[in-house]
Amino acid sequence: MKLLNRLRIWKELRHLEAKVREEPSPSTFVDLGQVYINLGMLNETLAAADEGLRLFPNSAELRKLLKFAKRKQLDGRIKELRQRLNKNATAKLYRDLAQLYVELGDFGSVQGTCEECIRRFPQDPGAHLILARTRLTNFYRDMTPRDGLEAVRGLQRVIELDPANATAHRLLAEVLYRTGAVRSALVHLERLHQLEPQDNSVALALDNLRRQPIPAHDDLEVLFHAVEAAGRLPYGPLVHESGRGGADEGSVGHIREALAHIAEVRGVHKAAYIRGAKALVKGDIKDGRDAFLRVVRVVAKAAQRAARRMDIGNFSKGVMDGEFGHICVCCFGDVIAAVLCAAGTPTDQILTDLQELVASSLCERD
Amino acid sequence: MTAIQDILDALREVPGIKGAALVTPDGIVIGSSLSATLNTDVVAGLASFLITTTRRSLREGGLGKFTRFVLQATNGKVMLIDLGDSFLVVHTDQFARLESSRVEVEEAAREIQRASRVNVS
Repeated sequence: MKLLNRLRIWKELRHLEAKVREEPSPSTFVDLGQVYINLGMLNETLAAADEGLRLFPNSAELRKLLKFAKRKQLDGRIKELRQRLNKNATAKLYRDLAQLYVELGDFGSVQGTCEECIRRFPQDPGAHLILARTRLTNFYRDMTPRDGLEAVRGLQRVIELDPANATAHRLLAEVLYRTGAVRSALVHLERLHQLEPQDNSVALALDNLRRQPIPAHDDLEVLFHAVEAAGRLPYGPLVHESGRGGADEGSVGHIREALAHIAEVRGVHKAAYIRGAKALVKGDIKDGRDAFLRVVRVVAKAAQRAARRMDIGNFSKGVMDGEFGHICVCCFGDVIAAVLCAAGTPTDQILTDLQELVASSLCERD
Repeated sequence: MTAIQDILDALREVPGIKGAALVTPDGIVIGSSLSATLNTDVVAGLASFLITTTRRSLREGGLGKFTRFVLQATNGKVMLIDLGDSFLVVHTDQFARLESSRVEVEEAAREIQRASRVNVS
C-alpha cells in the first residue's frame, strides 16, 4: 500500500514537473513544491520556489513556500550541527549553530548557544559578537535599554578579546552615536578609521562627527533609558548622515547612465538591468512588464543552472543569435544586464559594457 | 552514423575544444565525443533543458527561434547550434577563443547536416 502510494506521488510529481514547464503559474509551482515537501526533497522545493519567484516575483504563496522550505532546511542543518557538537565541540560549530538560530529568528536559542560557547571557549570573540548583534537588533526594534546596554557590553568584550575587530568597532560607534553617546562613538570611529583607512564612508562619518559638539561625559545608562522614554533614537544612522545616504541614489543614477549609453549603441533595441525583482530599462521598452525582461530572467536562470550542473562553474555571460538578432546577457548572482540588438551588431563590445555595468554596480553595493 | 562520430571526433582536435555532442531537443544522444570529465547523458539532459526553456520563453516573448547560444562560465564555455532536428553541443575551456574556432565549428555543423541527410535518405 505504501509503495502504491509512493508510486502515485511520483506519477503526480512527473505530471506537475511537466505542467510547470508548459503552463507556469504561481499555483503550479506551489503544487510542485508541495509534492517535493511530501517526498522530503527540500533542495528541489527550494529550487521550485526560487524558480517560481523569478517568474512571479510578487507571489505571496511562493514566498510562503520558500520560507517554509528554508525553515525545514535549517532544522535539518541544526540537527546535524548538534550531532557534530556532541561528538567534537568547537567554537566555530557553536557560531555556525547560533547563526542558524539567528536566521530562524529564535533569540532564546541564539542566547543559549552563545552562552554555552562562551562558557567552553571564553577567549573566542565570535559568540560574543553574534549575541551582541542579536541584542542590538532587539534594541533597534523595541528600544529596550537592557538589550542596548547588554549589546554594548558584549561588543566591548569582543574588542577586549580582539582589539582589531572592525565589525565590533563599527557596531559600537553606530549604536553609541545613535543613542547620543557622541564622545564614546568618536573613540570607536577613530579606531575604525585606523583599521580601515580605505573606507571613505568611515572617513566622512568621522569628519562629520568631529564637527559636532562633543559632551564632556557620556552616561550610557541615562542615554539608553532616555531612548526608551522618548520611543525613538535621537540621531539617525551614523554613516548615512555622513554622506553615504546619497550612494544608493548615486549608484542607481550611474547604472541608468551606463544603461542609456549602451542603449544608444547603433543596432541596440532594448537594454535592461535587473536586480532581483527590480529592473531598469532603456531603449524600445516601455516598462517592467516587457516580455524581454522575462525572457532574460528565464534564460539567465536556465544558463546558470545548466552551467553549474555541467561543472563548468558559474554562468557569467552569453550571446544568443536568432530571428530576433542577438540577445547578450551578462550576469552575476542576482544581477543581470542584457541587451537585444539587431543582427550584425558587434556583440563583443556590448558584452564588455554589460560586464562593466554589472561589476561596477556590485562594487558600489559592497 | 559513423560519419557523424568522425566529425565530432575531428572537432575535438581543434585547439580549445574539449568535446562535442549531437543531441536532440528532447535530450537523446545521437553521437558524442566528450572528455571523460563530462557525462554524455548529463550534458544531453542539460542541453535539452536549456533548449526547451529558452525556446519556450522566446516563443512566449514573441521573439521567434534561436539558432545559436554561446554560454561562458568561469571554467568553460558551451555552444549550442541548431541543426534543425538536432543540436550540436560544443564544449571548450574557458580560455578558448570562439572566433578562431568558429570556422571549424560551422564547417562541422554543415557536414553533420549533410551526413544526416544522407543517412536519412
